[in-house]
Amino acid sequence: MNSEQQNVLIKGKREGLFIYFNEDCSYSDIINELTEKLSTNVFSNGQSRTPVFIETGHRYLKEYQEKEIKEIINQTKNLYINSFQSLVITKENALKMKQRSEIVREMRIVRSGQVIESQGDLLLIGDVNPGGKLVANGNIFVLGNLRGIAHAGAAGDREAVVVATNMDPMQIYISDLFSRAPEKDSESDGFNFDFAYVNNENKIVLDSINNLAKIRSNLAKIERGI
Amino acid sequence: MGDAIVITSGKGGVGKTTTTANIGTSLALLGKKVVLVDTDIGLRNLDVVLGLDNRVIFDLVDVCHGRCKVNQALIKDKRFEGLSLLPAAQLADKSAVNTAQMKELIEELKKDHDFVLIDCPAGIEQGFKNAVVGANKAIVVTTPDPSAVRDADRVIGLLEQEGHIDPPRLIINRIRTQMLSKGETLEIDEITNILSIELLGIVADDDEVIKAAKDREPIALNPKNRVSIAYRNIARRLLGESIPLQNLTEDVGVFAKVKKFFGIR
Repeated sequence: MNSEQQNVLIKGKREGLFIYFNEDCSYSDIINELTEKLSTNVFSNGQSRTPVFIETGHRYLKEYQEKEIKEIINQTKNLYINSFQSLVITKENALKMKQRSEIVREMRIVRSGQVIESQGDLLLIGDVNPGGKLVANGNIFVLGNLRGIAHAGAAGDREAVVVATNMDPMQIYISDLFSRAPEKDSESDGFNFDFAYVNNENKIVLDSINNLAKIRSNLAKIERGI
Repeated sequence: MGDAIVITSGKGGVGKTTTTANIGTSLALLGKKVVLVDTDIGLRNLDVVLGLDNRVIFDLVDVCHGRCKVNQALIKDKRFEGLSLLPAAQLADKSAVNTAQMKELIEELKKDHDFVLIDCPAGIEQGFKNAVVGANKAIVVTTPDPSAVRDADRVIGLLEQEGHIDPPRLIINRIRTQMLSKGETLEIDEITNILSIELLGIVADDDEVIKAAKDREPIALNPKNRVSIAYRNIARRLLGESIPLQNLTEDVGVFAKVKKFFGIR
């Protein structure tokens, strides 16, 4: 092993242990050096558990490689993974991210038997009639009557919300949760301009639009979901 | 070149055939040249409603397969010159004709008629596709009944996807005026709110319609009946006249909400 250039650099900071990987060496070199460095007793002396921050730089790690590294860290006494940062992602993931941050806009009536889908947020200007359906990986906003079915956070985002000028839905789904007649929360006045969200008890509830900013404060931020 | 209007509903039994017969009769009374096309192959009805069933020799399937000319299959109505009927076949099913044949047939009928009224079968399958393909306008018939409104909504969605058809217009049929006044059925503005298409007419539920059906005569021939007047009004609206909707609650008293709605129209 080349002692002049380290492939795995470990730095102790106030927040915890930062581990940097060399971007040019082979993956097996990193695994070998990481295992060797962690095998010393230095890290298992302290009383409390130390968080580990991994910075892979411009090296792209495949899923099984990431898993392997996480296992090595977690097997070491007193260490646990806090974050896993990389400066690169695949084109595939980048495209998905882009789609998820986009808003699909539609201006029509969604009638019985019709479905509108969106990879990101969905903004509908018009009504959803009974039997009509909206499906979005992000949030759903309806400027009109929601009388049909809405499924927000369809790819598994429980933070997603459904907002409608007039809330009279047949069913609301958020992520994997389902609600037929959403329960009213505080200050909800007659299902007017309400939104549906998942509360702390993992139940879908309705609340007045006035409380949206309180309950989902990061809704308007662009980098949401990235 | 006339208009081809498809009359459809999705749900069965809401009065498509009665509506077709009566609008056709009303248009003929106004001096227009009208042909009614029954596309309900296998369940032919329109000839019975018009009292022309004993004159059927050739039918729609015969025309589409070239077994006769269009003019041979058309049955002239016994009451007026201007009205004729192209009956459906009884001994075949919906797959006996395809959309290309239907389109060609309707195009040909449009050439020498002011109005081609196409009576659509219930459902949204092949029969519906055949009925819709040649039309350039559409009338959706519904009743004040949640399931009929739901089906109408579905059908409007399908019609809107057809690029060759103008935005469909709505007829609310078989309104029980007594129940409407007491608020026991869906209200007219509730229905128009959900479907949000132009309302072409409202027709009351009236025993006279059943009596007329027994006599094999369209109710539109009776000049005094309110249903007849409703159909005649619809015919005139189709010709571009603007006629206010009937007040269906006048015989029970004052009902502000409905009156207000009529006042707006």
